[in-house]
Formats: sequence, structure tokens, C-alpha cells
Amino acid sequence: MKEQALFDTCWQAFAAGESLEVILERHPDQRQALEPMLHAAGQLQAVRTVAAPSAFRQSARARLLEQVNAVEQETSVPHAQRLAIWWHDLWASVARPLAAPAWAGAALALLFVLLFVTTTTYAAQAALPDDTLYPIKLASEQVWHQFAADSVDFDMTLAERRLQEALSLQTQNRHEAVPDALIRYQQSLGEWSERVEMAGLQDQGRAEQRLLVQLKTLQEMGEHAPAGQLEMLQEQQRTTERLMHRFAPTPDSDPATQHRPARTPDPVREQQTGGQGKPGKETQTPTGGQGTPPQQATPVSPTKKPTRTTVATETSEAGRQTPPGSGNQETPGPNQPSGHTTTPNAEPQQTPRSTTTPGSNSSRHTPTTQVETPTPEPSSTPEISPTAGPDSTRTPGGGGQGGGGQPTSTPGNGGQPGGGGSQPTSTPGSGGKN
Amino acid sequence: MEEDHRLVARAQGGDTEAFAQLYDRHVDAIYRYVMLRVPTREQAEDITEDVFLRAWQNLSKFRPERPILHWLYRIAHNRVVDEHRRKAQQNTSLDAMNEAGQQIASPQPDPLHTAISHEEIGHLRSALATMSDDEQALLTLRFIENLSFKDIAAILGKSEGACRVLQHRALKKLAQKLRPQELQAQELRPTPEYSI
Repeated sequence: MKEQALFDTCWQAFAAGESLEVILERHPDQRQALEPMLHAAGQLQAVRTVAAPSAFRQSARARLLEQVNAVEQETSVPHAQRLAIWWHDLWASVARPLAAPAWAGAALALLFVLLFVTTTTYAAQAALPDDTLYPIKLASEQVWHQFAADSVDFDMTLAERRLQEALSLQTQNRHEAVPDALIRYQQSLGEWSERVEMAGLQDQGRAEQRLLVQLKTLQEMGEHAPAGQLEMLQEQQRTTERLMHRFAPTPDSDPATQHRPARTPDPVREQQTGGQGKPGKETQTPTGGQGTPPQQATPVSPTKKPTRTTVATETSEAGRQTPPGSGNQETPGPNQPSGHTTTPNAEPQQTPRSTTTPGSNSSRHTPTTQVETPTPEPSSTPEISPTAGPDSTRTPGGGGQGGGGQPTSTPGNGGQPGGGGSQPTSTPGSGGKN
Repeated sequence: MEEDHRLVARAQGGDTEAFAQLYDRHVDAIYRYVMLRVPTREQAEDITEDVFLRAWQNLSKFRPERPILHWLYRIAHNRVVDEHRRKAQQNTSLDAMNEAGQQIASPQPDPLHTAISHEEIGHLRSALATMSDDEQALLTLRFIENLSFKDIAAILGKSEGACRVLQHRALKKLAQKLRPQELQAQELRPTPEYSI
């Protein structure tokens, strides 16, 4: 190999015009091997001056043309191919000087690839588990996750998407796929929970509302689920409730809660409490409504929250924000005592809160007019600041504050990651793209 | 190259004059390629003519993305191999080959270079005749036609690395064969257009 490389080097020098002797003097040790090879190569190269004899050229040409004209071509060029050849010549003669640079073809190909990827990804957003495009949907979510500004919010959105998928599967009577979908939902929710804890986030009022929506979805699914999936759904409901209570902010942080009007029967709440069916220690409304003696309420009563923060799916008052002056967003931790008080700065008023508005689920939910009416139960929490009215009956320790003063933005489009990469803020809104 | 492509396209469309132009353009190269590998001039002319006739007959199968000359080399190589299989070269004496070599070519005088003599051509042919078809082809394409290893590999259907190794081995062999004839070494100057 070394000798071969040396020969190539010497041959290049020879071809460049150096004399053979000069070249060989540079390599005295290899002269004996190189010299014969270079001579032989040189002799071969001299043959380049040889040409076919003129007589032969002419006679052979004539004979060739005779035979060519006499013999049919074995395969004729199809008309389409001739047309292609003609077009190619035209392009070569006219268009090539004006042709785009060599990279134009690559750019065009890249554009087609991008279009294909974008279209496929967009179409995949409606995919459900076991669908062909579902892996693409999951992959696009991972990509989207990299660009998400709020990972916590993104995790919640993913959980909502998983739940919507389970709901869609049930709607389509694909019951066999529902359990796996619920497991994915549970996993997503777990990831959100971990991220929240790791981030040490305190105020999860908006998350509470979103969890409430999810809880409602699970409840509705339970009403239509086959018997074999009921237990799973109920377990998932309990899990979601636990998270909801766990990460809910304290009610004291929301001045709006302190302006709650007097308790009024809340038909929605009634319906919720009735619909829940299975009271548990963490279920809402153990009392079912009014009249619960305050003392009986637990300091951290998860039962309060749902009643207070009725999630308005379709509310005529949607859009109302929390009253002004609710600037004090201090939200003691869920477990903190309720000593914190915020002086209300407005008269009690209903502060309907438009929260997430599930899309496809809206038909399942009873349209409710959100009424932030203090529940009878909250009034049973006297440890809340006496300066607040009875409306401030938020249970201490982070009772049912429905999201301290933050209006929940609810695009309702489910925040599809599809091609835009926009940050989703809500829900499962359009999850039911079936 | 572009002109070749146009001529090929026209010839593929049935234009015999275009094919004749291709013939004029490449007949010398094919002739050189063949003449060192066959014993007589008549055989070299016959094979050369046959190469172009076969090219015309199979022109519709030619893919324009490669040079037509490489395709012609390939046809010529196959044709020479067929010739070697049909005739026994060992029966051809060295003297006869030398004599044939004197008749086989009419080197055109090059004002810048020493013209190769008929005797030298004969010596080359004799030496090449003892080598394999691939070695003959490679040496011819490499040092006479100045093709790159990439082009040679495409013509012979081998890898570039294999062609490099084969060249080295074949050249050493050729050098040994030619040594008795190199008692008086001439200082040969390369042609300026040689490119590696």
C-alpha cells in the first residue's frame, strides 16, 4: 500500500511535468521499484497519441451507417420517451442557464417533506389510542413539550387530552381501549402532580378547576361505562379528587370568595352532589347542601370546593372576571391555617367564574350558571376571618377556592399541538375529535 | 458531455447522423482500447466497428446519466473478452504479435512528445497479452485514456479500492514484462492534459 501510494505521488509529479530522473532522485531507496513502473506507465501513456487509421475510420463509418439504416432498431423509442427527450433538450438549451441553483431541488424536497410532516401531524391530533396515527400524536406532543413555556400547564393539558381520548373511545363504543386510555390519563396526571410538587408551586387554583372538569368527565364516563369499568373509573375519580384538593389554593387568597352572597341553593351543586353518588370522605358535599353546621365542617373540607367553584360549562355569565380589587393573591398553602384574611373591597357579588369549558363534554354537562354562592358549609368555618362576611366561608386550609382570582382562560380548543405549537391553556375542549 | 448527451438523445430518437457524430468522436478511444488487447489490426478494426454497431442496436437501453464513452468502453471490454475466449492467444507467437503491432496503429506525430514506435506498441501488446482481461482493461483505461478510478470502477464493475490495488499489481507485472525492452530508457514527457 505504501509503495502504491508512493507510485501515485510520483506519477502525479510525472504527469505535472517533472522529469522522471528528478522524481526518482527524491526517492533513492525506492528507485529500484519505482523506476520500472513509472517507465511502463509512461509507455502506456504514449499510446494516447495513437488514433484509428484514417482509411479504417472512413470505411467503418460508411459500413456502420449502412447497417444502421438497414437494420431496424430492436426497440424503438416510445413516443412518450421522445417527447421527454425533446423536453429535456429544450430545458437544457433554454432553461438551464436560468435554472435555479443546485440547492433549489433540495429546498423543494425539504418543503414537501415539511408539508407532509405538518399535515400528518395535524391529522394525527384527532387520533385515538390504537389508531395508526396515534404514535405520531404522542411524538408531536413530546416535541411540543420541548417548546412549552409552562411545563406544568403542559402536563395538565396532556392529562386532559388523555382523558378526552378515553371519553372519545367510550363514545365510539371502543370500550376495550378505554382502560388503557385511563391508565395513560392517570400517568399524565401523575406526571403533572410530580412536576407541581417539584416546582413547589403553591397556587393551583386554575388547576383545581381543570381537575374539576376532569372529575366531571370521569363521572359522566361512569354513567355510560360498562360494568367492568366502573370500578376503574371510580378509582380514577377518587384520584383526581385527591389531586384537586391537594393542590387547591386556600380560599382566603381570593377576595372574591369573601363577597359571596348569601348562600343560595345551587341547582348545579345539587346535581353534582346527587350525581356523585358515592360519598366518601373526600367526596364533595357530604351534607348535600345547606345546613351543615359549621362546626362539622372539616378545616380542609374538600367538599366545599366543588360547591363553591362550580365550573360553568356554559354560563350566561361566562367571562365575568373576579371582581376588582382582588389583587391580593396571597394564597396560603392548602394546609395553612386560614388566618389570612383579605378585606373585601366590594360588596358581595356574584363572581361567576368562567373556567374551562369543555368542548365536547358540554353536551354532557348540564349547563350551569355559575354562581359563586357560598355554600352553607363554608359558613361553618368560623375560623375564617370574621371580617369577611358569611360569604367568606371558605374552609380554611385551602378549601374550595376556585382559583384565587384568576380568571381561567379557556380557549376551549384543547390546545392542539398540531402544527402551531401554541401553548395550550385548556382543556380537553376539543378532545372529542372523533 | 452535454453535447454527447444531446447526440445520444437524438440518436435514440433514430437520428443516424447523430450517431455517426458519436462515432467520429469516440472511435479513436475505442480503437486504442481494443488494439492493445487483440493480436491483429484486422481484429481491432472489426471489434471497434462491432462495438459501435452493438451500441446502435442497444442505444435505447443506454441510461443518459453516465457518459456514453464509458458505456462504449464497457461494450468494447465485453467484446474483447469474448474474443479472447474464442481464440487461443497463447498460440500467437511473440514475433507475430510484434509484427501485428507494427501494423496495428499509425501513431500521429505529436510535436510535443516522443511518438511511440510500432515496436514499443508491439512490446506493450505482448506484455498485456499475458495479463488478465481486467488488468489489461485497467491499465489501458488508467494510463492511456486517463480515466479516474471512479470511472474505471464503474466500467469494470469493481470498487475503487479494488481498482487501485489491481492497478498497482498490474503495473508491476507490466514493468517486469517490459524490462528487457527498457534497456535504453527514453525520457518520456507526459501529455499536458493528463489528469489523475
